[in-house]
Amino acid sequence: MIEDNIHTLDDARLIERAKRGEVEAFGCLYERYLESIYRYIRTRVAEDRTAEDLTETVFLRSFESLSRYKEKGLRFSAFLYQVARNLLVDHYRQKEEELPIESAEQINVSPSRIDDLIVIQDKVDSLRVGLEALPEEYREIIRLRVLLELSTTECAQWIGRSEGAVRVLLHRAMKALKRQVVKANE
Amino acid sequence: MNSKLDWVIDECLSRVQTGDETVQDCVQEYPELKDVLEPLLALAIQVNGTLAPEEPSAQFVHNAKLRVLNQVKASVTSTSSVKVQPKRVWRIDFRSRRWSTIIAGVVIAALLFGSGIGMKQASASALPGDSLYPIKRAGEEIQLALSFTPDGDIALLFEFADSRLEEAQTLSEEGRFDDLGKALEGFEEAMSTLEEVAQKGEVGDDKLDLAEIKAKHEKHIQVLERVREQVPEHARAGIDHAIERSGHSQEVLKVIHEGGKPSDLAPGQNKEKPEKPEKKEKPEK
Repeated sequence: MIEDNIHTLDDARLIERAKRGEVEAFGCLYERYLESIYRYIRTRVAEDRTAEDLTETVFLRSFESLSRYKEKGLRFSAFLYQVARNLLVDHYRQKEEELPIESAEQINVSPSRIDDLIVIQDKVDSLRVGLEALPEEYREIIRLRVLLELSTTECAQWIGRSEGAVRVLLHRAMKALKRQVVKANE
Repeated sequence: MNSKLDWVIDECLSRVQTGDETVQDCVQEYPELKDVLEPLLALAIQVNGTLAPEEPSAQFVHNAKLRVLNQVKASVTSTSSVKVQPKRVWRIDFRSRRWSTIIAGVVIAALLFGSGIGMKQASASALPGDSLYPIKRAGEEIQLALSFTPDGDIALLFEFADSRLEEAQTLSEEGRFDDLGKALEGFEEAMSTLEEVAQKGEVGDDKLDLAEIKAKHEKHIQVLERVREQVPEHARAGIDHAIERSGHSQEVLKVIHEGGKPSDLAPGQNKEKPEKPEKKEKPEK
């Protein structure tokens, strides 16, 4: 009964309870945001295992910092995103090997013929090269809005910009990517 | 014009992502923007289709949740316990003959005078870090002292090793990772004493049944690996060491059972892995 109730609570209530030491409340927040945080980190690192370790650390650090978290219009998912970004900065600093997000990705299709595979691999390569050439701001909006399929509102919350700015950024990023892909195919 | 285009691209991307519309539907709705809209939407779909990350595995989601919540629980518990009641640290070396004698005397006296029965029962479920835990361990020392045959000692030591692993399992479930090391040390200590007893004593063949030893070893590994899944990275080294210790003990007991001398087995050496070439001994300096 209690479990059912807790799952229906909004983030603010869960955070309030988690701050008071209710582990189950933090468990609900974990369930709510694990996937998006993991997938975001996975766009930034080369291996599943690394993404898993970092995701786990994001939630632990978030709990440690929970007392300092004040909603003030900032969604909890945006707070987790900020923790993830900081952690990735630390991770790259330690490893000294920032792997471009684009080369971290896997092909999601299973072509039945070798010719198809070659064509798809060429496309993937040109997309990766194109993305690598973009400014970080453009790459980030493509990660969030196109790869993770976050809504414009969520993107705005996560990166701390207005929805209008997200739309402009997306348009510019996609146009720049198109130019880069055309260039890579020439 | 540009702000309208920004809006249309964003809006159409949302519709395509939710599966409500196709690129063509969007183009039909905004034919005047077709030249810009169509290639950008197609590119977005292509990028998503080829580069979007997979979902996390179900196993990771489950295990990570256990680990995260265990650590959260541990930090909540330690924060409140430090404020309310500082944990008392016991620093008694039970291997010291003096302490063993003193504690044995106290516990026997307590047992004899009745009140010890309740204490012994209460301490049965005590975990490393609990105030009654030393009583539990002292009780085991007495049990061992009252066993007069190597066979009896071995049976008891296996029992104690199992008990330490049960403690490790409970501690990891409760997120008490700081106390986990004590349970693992106790496990290794029991296995080490068991090897010594088997080596020194005339052990009956029926007590060193190889199948039974193997089954016990497998059970130990199962428990240790289960615990390993639940603990944070920093606590895993101790578990790996205990796994190695268990494997080594199995080897020692096997060699004794076969009438050989276990002295040539170094800790960590596992003869059941022939694929690893034996390292040449380094020349002594």
